[in-house]
Amino acid sequence: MVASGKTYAKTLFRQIRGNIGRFAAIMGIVALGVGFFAGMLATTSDMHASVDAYYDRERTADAFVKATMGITQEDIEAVAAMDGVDTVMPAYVMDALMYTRNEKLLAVRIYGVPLERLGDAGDGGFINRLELLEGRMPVSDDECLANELGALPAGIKLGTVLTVSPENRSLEDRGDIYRVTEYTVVGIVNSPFYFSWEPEPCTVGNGRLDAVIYVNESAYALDVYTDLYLTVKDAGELTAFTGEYEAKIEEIVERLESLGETRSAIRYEDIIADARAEIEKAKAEFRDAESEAQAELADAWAEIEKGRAELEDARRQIDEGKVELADAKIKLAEETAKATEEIERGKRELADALIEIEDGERRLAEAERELEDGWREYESGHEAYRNGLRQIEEAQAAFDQGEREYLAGLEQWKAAGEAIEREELNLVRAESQLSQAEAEYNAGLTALEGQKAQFDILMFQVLSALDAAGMPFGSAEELLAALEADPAGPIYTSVGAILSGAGMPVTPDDLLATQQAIAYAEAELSAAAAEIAAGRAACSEGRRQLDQAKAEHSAAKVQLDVAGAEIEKSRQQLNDGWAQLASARAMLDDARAQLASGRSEIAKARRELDNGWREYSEGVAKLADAEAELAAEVAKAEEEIRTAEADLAKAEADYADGLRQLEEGEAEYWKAKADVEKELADAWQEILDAEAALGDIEHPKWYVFDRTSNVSYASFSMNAEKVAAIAKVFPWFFFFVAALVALTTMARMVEEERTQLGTLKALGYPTWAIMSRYVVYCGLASVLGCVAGAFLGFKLLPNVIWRVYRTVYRLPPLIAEFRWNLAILSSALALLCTMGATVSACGSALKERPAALMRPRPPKVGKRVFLERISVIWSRLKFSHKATARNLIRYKRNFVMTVLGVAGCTALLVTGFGLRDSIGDLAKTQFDEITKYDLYIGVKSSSGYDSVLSEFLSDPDKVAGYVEAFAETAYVIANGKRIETTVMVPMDSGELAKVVTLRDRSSGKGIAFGDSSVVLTEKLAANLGLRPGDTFTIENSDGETAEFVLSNIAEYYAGSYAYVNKYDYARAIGKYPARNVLMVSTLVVGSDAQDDVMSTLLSSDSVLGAQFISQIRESLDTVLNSIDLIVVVLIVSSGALAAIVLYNLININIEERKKELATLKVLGFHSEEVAAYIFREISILTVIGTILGFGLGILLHGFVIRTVEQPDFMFGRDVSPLSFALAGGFTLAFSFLVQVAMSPRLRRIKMVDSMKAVE
Amino acid sequence: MDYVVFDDVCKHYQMGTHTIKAVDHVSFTVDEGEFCVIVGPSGAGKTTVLNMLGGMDSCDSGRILLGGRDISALSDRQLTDYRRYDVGFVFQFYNLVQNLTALENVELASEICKDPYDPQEALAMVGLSDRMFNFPSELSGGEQQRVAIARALAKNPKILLCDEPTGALDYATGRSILKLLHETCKNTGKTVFVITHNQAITRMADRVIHMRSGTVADMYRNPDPVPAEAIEW
Repeated sequence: MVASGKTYAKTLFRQIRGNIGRFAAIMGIVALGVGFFAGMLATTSDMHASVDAYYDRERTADAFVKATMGITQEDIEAVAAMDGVDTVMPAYVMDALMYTRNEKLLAVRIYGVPLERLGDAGDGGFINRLELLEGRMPVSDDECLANELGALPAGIKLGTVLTVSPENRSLEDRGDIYRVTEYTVVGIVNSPFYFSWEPEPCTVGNGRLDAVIYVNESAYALDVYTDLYLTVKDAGELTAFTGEYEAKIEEIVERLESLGETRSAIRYEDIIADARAEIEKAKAEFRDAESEAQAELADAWAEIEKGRAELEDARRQIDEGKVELADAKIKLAEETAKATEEIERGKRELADALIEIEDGERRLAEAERELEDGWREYESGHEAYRNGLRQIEEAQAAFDQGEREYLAGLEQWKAAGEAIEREELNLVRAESQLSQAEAEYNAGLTALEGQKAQFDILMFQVLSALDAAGMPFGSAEELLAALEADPAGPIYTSVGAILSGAGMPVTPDDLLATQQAIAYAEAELSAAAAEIAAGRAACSEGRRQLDQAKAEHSAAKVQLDVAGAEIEKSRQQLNDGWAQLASARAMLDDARAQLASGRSEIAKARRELDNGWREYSEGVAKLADAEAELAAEVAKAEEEIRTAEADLAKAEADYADGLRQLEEGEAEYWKAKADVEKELADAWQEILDAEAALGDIEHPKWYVFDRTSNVSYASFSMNAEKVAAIAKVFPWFFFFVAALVALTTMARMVEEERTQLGTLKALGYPTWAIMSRYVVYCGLASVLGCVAGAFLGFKLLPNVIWRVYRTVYRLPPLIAEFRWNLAILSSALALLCTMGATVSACGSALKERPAALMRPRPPKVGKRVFLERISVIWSRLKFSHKATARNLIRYKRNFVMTVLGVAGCTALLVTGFGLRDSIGDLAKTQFDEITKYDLYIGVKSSSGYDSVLSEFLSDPDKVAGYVEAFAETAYVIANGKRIETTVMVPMDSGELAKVVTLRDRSSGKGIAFGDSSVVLTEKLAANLGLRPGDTFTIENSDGETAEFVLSNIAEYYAGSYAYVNKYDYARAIGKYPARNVLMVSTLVVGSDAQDDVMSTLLSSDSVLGAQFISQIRESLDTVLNSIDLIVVVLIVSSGALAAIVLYNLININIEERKKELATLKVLGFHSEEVAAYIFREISILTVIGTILGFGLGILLHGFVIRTVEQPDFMFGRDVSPLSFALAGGFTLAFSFLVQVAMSPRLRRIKMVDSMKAVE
Repeated sequence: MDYVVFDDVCKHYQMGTHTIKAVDHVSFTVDEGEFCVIVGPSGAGKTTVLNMLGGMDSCDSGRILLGGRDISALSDRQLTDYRRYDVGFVFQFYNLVQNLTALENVELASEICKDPYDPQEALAMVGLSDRMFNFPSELSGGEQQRVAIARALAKNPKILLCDEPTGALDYATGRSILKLLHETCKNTGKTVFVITHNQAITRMADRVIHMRSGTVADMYRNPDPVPAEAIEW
């Protein structure tokens, strides 16, 4: 074979054609492995190369210098002259807060660059060239180019006017720095320095740069440049991001740093020299000022001395005046005293006289009082006398009246006695008449009694007779009543007859008459008895009254006698009274005479006293005159003294005034002197300080940066490395499966050609020669696979991944190159795997002796499986199931290859669909469940809401609710890590839940945000290694730090936040958070409506900025769409993997069991039964592989997610059940398709093959 | 009477421009229950005849009847059922499924039949009751062939086709296998075809068909078959 190349090639070609499926399988799996490995590794390089090309095209700075004291023309020349430096470009670069016409405040980096040089591509070219996207270049200093940053544009458009805000802390005087402070955007550009959407840090505002603008150099007023950009010679030939490039730049950076030290020293000397000159000038000025001040002070002192002399003169005059005045006062006092003494003597005499007069007056008054008392006594005695007279006269009259009444009473008493006697007589008479009438009555009564008795006897007799005669009557009364009732009736006749018959002398008429007579007598007698009784009663009443009158009469006699005695006594008393009255009268008359003589004496004394009084008043008048005269004279003298005194006082006041003025003048002088001296001292001190400060002047320093300090460069570099990281894990799997595929395939081939091998060996071919057939066969397949894989991988993968990164970077077109080094590396790895497998497959067979090889290989011993021990199950299984069960265990290589291949397929699919889930979850969970607000408004914290904003907020058609909060960009520091985040302090802790759902991801339990809550979002907490209860530090934008205790960790995907309650924040930071943002839940849908709302809001004075969250969501959707492409790539490659592995397995199984299958056909098995015999095994392996693949997929997905995740974003960690179902479904579908494709192979098996001997 | 009939059957293979007449106008009849030996040198067309009779191959012309049924007119599907229910096959190389035990190999056949023998009974018939749980690789060649015969018998087929059943066996074993086949034929009354190039075996046949170059060279009834033990070669 080796001897004849032609034959060898022919045999090989035939071998390949005969086993084209196997050949393709090896090729395919190698292509997959190489494609993935080379493709993903190439992606990193392509990413580097593409951006590098972009850098080179835009002449991007390789390094730049920032000097603390600016960069001078000499500095620029020094750098330009440096070895290795290609071009340099100085620039003014300052970060400043700028506001737009609608008061939106932005953090802007202002580049003052020679824009006019942007056009020429020559050596004087521009570094960090700008790509004009729209608009035009500025033609004047107040025009600028703008480069918007971040995924969320600040809304800068052509025509936007940006003004440097006076709020800039470090820019107290804007004019010192900027010649122009208001710029109009005339062009939108891209810069190679700012192609990432990650925020660029800056020193103003919230610490994130919103935009970059480029203005003409002349818009700056600084006299030195701040930055110097430079490119390095031959650096363009190296690829950015590579170690080689970075090392080259590092070298330049080091040299630049040492140059910086030299240049800084020179700069320092310049600055010091300038300062010294200024100090000398200041000293001269100081000396001039000093002498001038001294002269002025001396003049002032002379004037003060003059004033003092004048004042002393005035003082002397005043003192003299005072002495004269004192003398005058003494004289006046002496004269006044003398006159006063004389007057006093007169006064004393008068007083004595007055005492005498008053004494006499007192005595007179006493005599008059006595006289009046005598009169009053007399008058009262006289009054008493008249009273006594009136009383006695009244008593006399009463006595007379009493005597008359007594006599009249006596007469009446006598007449009453006579009347009583007459009444007694009449009564006696009436009594005797009554007794007579009583006697007559008694006689009449007796007679009637007798008559009645006789009649009763008769009546008895009559009744008896009648009874006897048969006419019984109960009583006499009955009979009589009967008779009377019937005067001529039968009874009457009968009675009469009976009576007559009995011999009775009476008739019935007699009976009746007698009865009537008795009744009449009885009536008369009873009338008489009544009369007697009445008379008896009248008599006894008369007797009683008479007795009473007699008693009263006797009593009246007694009273009359008493009255008589009293009258006699009164008469005696009256007479005594009269006598007393007469004697009183005599005494009264006597007293009256005495009183009259006393009165005349008193009148005489009165006259004497009146004379005394007259003399006294004359004396008093004279004295008063004298006194008045004295007083007038004294007053006159005193007036003169007062005038003199007033004059003196005025002089004194004038003097004091003068003295005060003098003192003030003096004080002023001293103060002025002190001030001047202090000023001079201060000025001197300043000069001294300045001199001293010469030594303290900060040494200027150059800071040299390379591209790694550029956010875009660093972030892109990191992401490219991530791809490489995945490339280092992902494709190994393919290589491993490739090795297994090669191993099983080649083992099968060797097996099939066993006899041939034996023959060749017997013919004397060396082992390596025989083996080379297989090695070449497999090697050819591998090499072809490598070539195909490398081409596909280099083309496809970088493009797909580039597309994904384009959603987060502004990237140039991809430069996808064929990379020989990677192609060779990956091909070598692939070949190593397949060749190794081939050699190991051949080796074992070739060790056997030719004779053994020529013999058919003894069939593999059947093995019992565990399942057979469970006879309940085993005995129910069909033979084909039993065979399947045994086969699975029997061919271990096949088992491992197939399960791994299928598992890999499933794992890739799980990863692909899982990636969609993770990012989709992020978007969906974040914006459907967690973020409930859709509009974020930055407001001025200092003022209330203007009408535009408050109208909007209260419009129920647009706003469902909103929450006010304080938000600031800050660093969270813990465990030695420092991560930038947004601190959110809701004004009302309880309200936060209205706009943000805080919950624990794994349990799904809500977190109640209260007045003591401090919550971090999940990714942030994880990056810092914090757990609830841990302490961490927040450093706010003012550099203030405070410690907080973490209370909860909340699920959050897009962005990172620290939610702090306002009490803790205020307490810890020491300032009360003022609301500056609104999180609004709106009802505004659609971009047109949202644009309307935005323009309304931006016209509000209270609004600093506003943003609809849907924009973030849209950018996430873009990422999601680009992920779909990756999913397609993964589906295709996983399908290929599954197809190759399963094809290979089925192929081997069919080849190996061809005879068995033919036998089954002969035995009458239907073709589907034959197919099931083979495919059942495949299906079981597919299912096992799929299940294993789920596990692998979870691991792979987790690895990829963790690798590609951005610091601020947390992708969903979970793969959804749907994705598992899809992955499993796809895998099973692949398996099914392969089976369908392979079934014709089964049909083609001929039954006659069963007749053949064992190969 | 004529249980198996070959009526003017032809089978041609096209090999490039060359037509090989594998079976050329072959006609013969066999009665039910006969032990028939088809003998001839390699390439005489005896295997092709067996294939056509066993439903594994179709004829180009002529008719093949089994118990009055025209096999040559059957579709593939019907042929499969024919093999499944009516034909028992014994191969030269036994063709046992290596991964199944003796019993399971028998079950493999009995499972798909309508009225099979009990597999264990079938194994008992061939004298392998004590080896039924062994795998083929644990059995000797004769034992394996016995398993194959048991497998063919278990299906309870109408005819038993044996393709060089002794070809891979040593003399003594081959003779015992022939004896088994003969006994089976007599005991069960099944029609048995044995294909061989060994002339000696014709002595034990009820009917002998000599084939040469695709044609029947001779066909006769053996009036006096001898038992297998008596045969020597």
